[in-house]
Amino acid sequence: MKNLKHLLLLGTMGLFIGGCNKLVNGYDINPNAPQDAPADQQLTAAELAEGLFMSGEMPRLTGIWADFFTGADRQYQGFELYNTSANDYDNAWGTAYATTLAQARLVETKAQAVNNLRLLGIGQVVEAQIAGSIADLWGDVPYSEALKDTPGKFDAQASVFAAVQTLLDQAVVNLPKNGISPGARDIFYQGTVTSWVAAAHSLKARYFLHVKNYAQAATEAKLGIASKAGDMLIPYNATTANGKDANPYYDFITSSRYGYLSAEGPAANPAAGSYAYQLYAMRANAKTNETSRRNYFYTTASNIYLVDPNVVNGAFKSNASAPLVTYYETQAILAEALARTGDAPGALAALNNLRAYNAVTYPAAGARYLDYTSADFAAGGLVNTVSGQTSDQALIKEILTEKYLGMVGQFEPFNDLRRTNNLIGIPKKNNASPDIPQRLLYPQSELDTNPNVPKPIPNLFAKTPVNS
Amino acid sequence: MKKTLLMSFALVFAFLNGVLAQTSTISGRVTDQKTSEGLPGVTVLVKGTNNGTSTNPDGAFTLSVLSPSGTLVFSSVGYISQERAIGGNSTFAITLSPDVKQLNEVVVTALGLTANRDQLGTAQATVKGAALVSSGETSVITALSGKTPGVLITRTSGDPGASANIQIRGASTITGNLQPLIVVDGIPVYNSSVGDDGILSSNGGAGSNVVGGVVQASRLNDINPDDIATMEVLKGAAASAIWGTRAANGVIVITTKKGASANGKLNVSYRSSYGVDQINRTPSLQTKFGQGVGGLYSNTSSASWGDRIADRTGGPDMYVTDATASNYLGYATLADGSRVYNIANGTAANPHGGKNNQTTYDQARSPFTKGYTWDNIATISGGDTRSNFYVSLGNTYQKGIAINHSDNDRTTVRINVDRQLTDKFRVSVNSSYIRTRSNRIQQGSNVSGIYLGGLRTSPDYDNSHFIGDFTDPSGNIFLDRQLSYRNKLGRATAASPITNAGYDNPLWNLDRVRNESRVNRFLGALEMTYDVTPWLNILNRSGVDTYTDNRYAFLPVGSSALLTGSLTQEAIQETQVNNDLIARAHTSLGPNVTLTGLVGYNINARRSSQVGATATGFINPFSPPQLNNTPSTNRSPFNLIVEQRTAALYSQVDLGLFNQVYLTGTVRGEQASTFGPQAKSTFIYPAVSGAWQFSKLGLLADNHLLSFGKLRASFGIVGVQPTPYLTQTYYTSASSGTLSDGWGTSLDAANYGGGFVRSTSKGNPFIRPERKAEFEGGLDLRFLQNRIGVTLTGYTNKTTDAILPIPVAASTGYTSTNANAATITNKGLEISLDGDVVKTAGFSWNIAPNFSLNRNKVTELAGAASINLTGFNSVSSRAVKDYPLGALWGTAFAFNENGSYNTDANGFPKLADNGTARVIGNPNPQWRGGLNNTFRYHGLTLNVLIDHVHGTDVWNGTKGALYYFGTADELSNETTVSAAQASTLKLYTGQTVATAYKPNNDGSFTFRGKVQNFGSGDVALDEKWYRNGLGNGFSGGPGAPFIEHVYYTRLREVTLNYSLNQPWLRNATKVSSIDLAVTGRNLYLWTNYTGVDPETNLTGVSNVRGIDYFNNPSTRSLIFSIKFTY
Repeated sequence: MKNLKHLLLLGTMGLFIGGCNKLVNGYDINPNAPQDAPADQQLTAAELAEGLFMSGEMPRLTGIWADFFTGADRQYQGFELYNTSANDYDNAWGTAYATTLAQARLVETKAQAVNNLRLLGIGQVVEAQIAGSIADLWGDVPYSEALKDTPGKFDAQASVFAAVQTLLDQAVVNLPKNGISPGARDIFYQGTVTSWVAAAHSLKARYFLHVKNYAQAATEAKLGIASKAGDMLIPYNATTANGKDANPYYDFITSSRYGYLSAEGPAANPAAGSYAYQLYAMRANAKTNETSRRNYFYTTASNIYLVDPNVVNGAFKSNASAPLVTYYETQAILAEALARTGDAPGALAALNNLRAYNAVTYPAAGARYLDYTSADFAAGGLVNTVSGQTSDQALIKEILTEKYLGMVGQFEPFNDLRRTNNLIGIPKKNNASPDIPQRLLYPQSELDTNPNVPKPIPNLFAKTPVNS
Repeated sequence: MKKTLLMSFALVFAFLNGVLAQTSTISGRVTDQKTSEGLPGVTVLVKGTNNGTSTNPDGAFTLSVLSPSGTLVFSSVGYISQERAIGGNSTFAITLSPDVKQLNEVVVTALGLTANRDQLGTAQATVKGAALVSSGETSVITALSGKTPGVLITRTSGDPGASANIQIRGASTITGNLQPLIVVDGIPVYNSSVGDDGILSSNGGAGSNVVGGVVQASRLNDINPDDIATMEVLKGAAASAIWGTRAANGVIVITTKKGASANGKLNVSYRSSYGVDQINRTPSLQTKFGQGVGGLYSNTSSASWGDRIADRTGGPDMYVTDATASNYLGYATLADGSRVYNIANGTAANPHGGKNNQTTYDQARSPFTKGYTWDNIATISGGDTRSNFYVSLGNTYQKGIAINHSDNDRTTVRINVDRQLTDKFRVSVNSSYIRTRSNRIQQGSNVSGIYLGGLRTSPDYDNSHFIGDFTDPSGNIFLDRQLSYRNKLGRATAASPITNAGYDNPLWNLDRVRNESRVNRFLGALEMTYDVTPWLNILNRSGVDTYTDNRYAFLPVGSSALLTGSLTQEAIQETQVNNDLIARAHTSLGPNVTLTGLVGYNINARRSSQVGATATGFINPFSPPQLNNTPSTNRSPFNLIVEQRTAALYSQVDLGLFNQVYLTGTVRGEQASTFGPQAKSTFIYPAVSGAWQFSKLGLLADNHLLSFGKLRASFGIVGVQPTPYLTQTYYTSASSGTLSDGWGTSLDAANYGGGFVRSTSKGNPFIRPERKAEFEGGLDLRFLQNRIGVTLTGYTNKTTDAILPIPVAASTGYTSTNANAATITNKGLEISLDGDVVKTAGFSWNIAPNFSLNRNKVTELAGAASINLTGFNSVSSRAVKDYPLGALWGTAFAFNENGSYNTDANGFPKLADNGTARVIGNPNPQWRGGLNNTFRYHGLTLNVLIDHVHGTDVWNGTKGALYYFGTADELSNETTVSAAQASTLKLYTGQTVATAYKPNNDGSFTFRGKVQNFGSGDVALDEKWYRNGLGNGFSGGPGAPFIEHVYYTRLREVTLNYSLNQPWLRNATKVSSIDLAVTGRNLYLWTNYTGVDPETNLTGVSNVRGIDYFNNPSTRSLIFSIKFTY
């Protein structure tokens, strides 16, 4: 009897032990999160991440350094004086690689698996643009060995640009082939193939320009985005801040970091506005009146600072979509590329396209963008008042200045300033610095985890290889 | 499961099999020699056999014996054993006398079973319930402060019911559950503190790393300290190893009160106490300079670098009331009908502008007033020889010191019943229902934080007018606007019709912002014990702990944290079911060997859920908090489930040798749902401990000096379970957390029809529990008939495989993964003494000092230089290889090799390495000590508890920010220099004082700030340095200068208690005693810390330490209490 009890007890214990696994198994899977998502849903996320990267904190920062904006408070006062450290870039680098590049690549893989070549092409353009931007801003960066299990080597900047060109070539081939349109999941072009192909060419033009391959840049620009309707924009729809679909400039300036960013002038004369703000007025001539364009990008009516980026009714208002690659940029590339390859008339025509664009886009009373003629660039001409400046020099300077003032808040002007050795001559903000900043710093997160980061670590004023 | 386990319990059963046939029955009663009352639980054993029983609650026993020739052995903890020959007798009357060499101290072990302290091989601290109550703290956790060595309690804020962190013997894990396991009456219960980051982050105690918002409660606060009989703190691995992966941070075993009375008497008691709470310390602020920058008054500036207030003309301010004036901005109409207009800003010619008024305000105190605590509890308990019961009903209401909407209201009911149903079968039920309601206030890094807006407010602004109607220059009226120092008129425009206050006016915030939590909790335990044979019993203990926390967080329209307003309404539910089935057997193998063994099977299931929604952008600003008062696109519902299961088999063997050596071995084999599928499935946690009462050696036995001596040593391994759901890579909605630019600006794919990303955190299928191995050794000594006691304990432990999110190079497509990557070590020493300095019939003085130190070090960190736990860009608390866990990390000034500052061309210090962060402080104290004094004079008892924390670093981030804003008290200095000096004395910008400032009439120059020499000659530290330069800890300046190396001594508790229990009282009133007590809590703080309280920590229940960033202040209290016992 007693022994039976013991046996029973032992037996029960045995059952428990056998039951252990059953009791705990299967509960390691998170009931709150999926383990996969459809490719087109992931495309939306990749495009949003790319859009945020190209209209968020890094363009704000480079916009301060390009003298569009003024760092007015807290850490932004430091940025104003080029005070910045490696961990200022952790977030942006993560956005670029992990939430844009990696996701775009997954979209491509998934699209390829179901032979959706159109979606594959779209993914490739998204990837090309973020990879190109990373190389633009940081120089040598991981690319060929990126997105692997272990941290990869840093590729030479030029080779990243070359790879980007190859990727865009593939995209141009893939896009017109078969595939199911992602429709509204594609927030840039709603799956429209022609728009994507044109954008791919415009991007090719951009990255040829960055490596100073002006002939190719011109060729691609001619195939690029042909009208304002074809612009690649990230749509921002919110009417208020914190709506999570508001223009990041608007959200940052009016809400998230109220008071950090202005467009005021130096302390001695804040009302004068930033250099870009002043430049609009300085350029007025018989054929040009920039007031309405200035008022599109800047405002004096927001009650934050005396001059602010236009968050009220202009480029940075809450529901202002942000440009990623545009007709305007394409024409500006074409103009500069032609000017630099000896086709002054072609360059002038492209410049006048930009001016025509301005006339239509910034139509307020008093706006004036009459076509320039070659005489205007001759010595002593309307836009060549500097003694000793050739007409070609005047033309290139005018094209770059035009582009600088037409793309406020985007990366390209900062890229141009660095590529052209600050040809248009924006002032340094910190007299103790050798130059305006020439790159972004490698982020602390990558320094800590990737043994392949170039040594010595280049400083803020070290030109990236394609610019040096 | 593992072989070892099978073997271990096969072993237990092997010695249980010697069962004998029995013949005659004997019976008897065992009484206490001192009290003559029946002694329960005395072991009665036939010597040399396994045949035995134990006495019932009345001291009686019956036993069948084989032959009359045997000898009975009567033994009980704390009594001298007796032997009696059976000799044919059938009844026995035995009297046991107490063992003076042994303190009759019964402690409760990890499994909720009793043991004799003097036989333990591990250190175990016991805190009596009465000591928790008399501390005047309403929370069990904070009541534990300073009472036992090696336990560090850090409170998050002084708010009522706020969470507090318990750290035992240093930090042993980085990201997992950081809190000790809490076991109440044998059942593990929740001590979660679910912050705004939700149930997955809090993980039943891992805590929240949120740096702003409100401080939630620790759920252990739900337990009423009055219901607690004892609280055992099991610090080391060996003592707690039986709980495996839940024990790495120690185990706190709480035993609630049981009724007890053999004679059926009913005990009724009622205690009421009323306490007044006061703000303890506030940061000191300047009142000499007004709002503005550059020495000029500005009506809207965020800073107070403005004009000198004393130079103002006095009288009312000059309002801009002329509607045609260019600086006419309209006006605000206050509740009393008065109007506030714009005031002209200062100019070089008139630095005061239109500001004439010289009145200043104490911004650090204005949001606060006196709080109070009212605590009531009634209990009824009693019992008879077969059953006991205890019933209590308590309510504690605490109103915080914030002027409104800060309180905590806890009602508890407890019913504990046990009954001996048959001679062999005993059942007990312990149950408790708790309802807690609280209102919480905003703090920390949060533009709606009480102190963030409060301490930044200029000294010349009166926050008390916080509401008005704004009339714009065109005559449009905007009703019910928040007025703040940066927006005094509550201005809004037609284009952006919501008033932006910049930072919330703290008084508006306390009036309008709401954060409420309502908790309903049930704790229940059913324990059944069946004595199969006299030497074998089976115990099954089932328990459930379940609670629902209904919360809402409401920021009305115009809150700085979210201008359009926001409401989060949610229900958090956690349920934990636990069952232990334990078989226990004891036997003696010959006269000098006793053996007890147990085998247990434990299953534990925990399920947490969180359901709710957040909505923003209220349509009707006057509506009460309603989710549907928002555009449908602005609502984000959420639901979360976290489920964890653990199953384990464990065994314990206790061996007693020669009545002086006691050995204990435990082993636990465990499987859990949180282990990675690729990791092995079962992990074993062994422990051994030994105690040797060397004072029982013949040589020492008759010694009059040393009454007791014990050497102990132990080794054990415990673990920490991985946080759930680290094993796979998931997809996450591309929400604002993913699509964020680091400055608060973010996108949410939900606004674009939805979108998903593969998580940037990579899953790890190999994740396994963290393991902590600990050696502990110690010595317990008592002298002069136990009048003086000394306990010494040393330990060293090492946590390997600590789990942490390790950053992954983002270029791999992930930014982090979780890995068993880190190693942490702790070494420490704990000493406690207890001595009766004076002990006479009428008067006694007991003094009980304790001392502890712990050295913590992160020795391995997976190659990462540092892991951010939480904090800010300027200063964070991190895990850094070769530094103590929680090390403060930030930027510092550059120093030359000879220790002097590395200065710039103007003679000012420069940032080290261009502002690269490094370790700049250690927030772990060098040592801590407590000193408890108890004086007794007849019925009068005075208890004084002082504790000291030595050498800990706190980042005074509040001050660092206030330097930027110009409100810190240190910035009220003015310096006058001669014209000659001024012409060369440089400012940070390189200007000289002479060029930057206007001369005084005598040609000298006066500036706000001071002259300092950083090694390259005198320089002027003025606004250019503090605000625009590197002289603040907020914008550009380094964090290191605001790290304060702190010591503090706290008069934590002074209690004067008078007990009235004379016979006349009972005769006259039927009240057997009346206890009157006055307690002063946190009465005085001696410290060199310049902030609110060095014991504060912004992120509360977390591994982060030493972060003070606009934390709400702590309190001190005076509590009056009266207790009637019938």
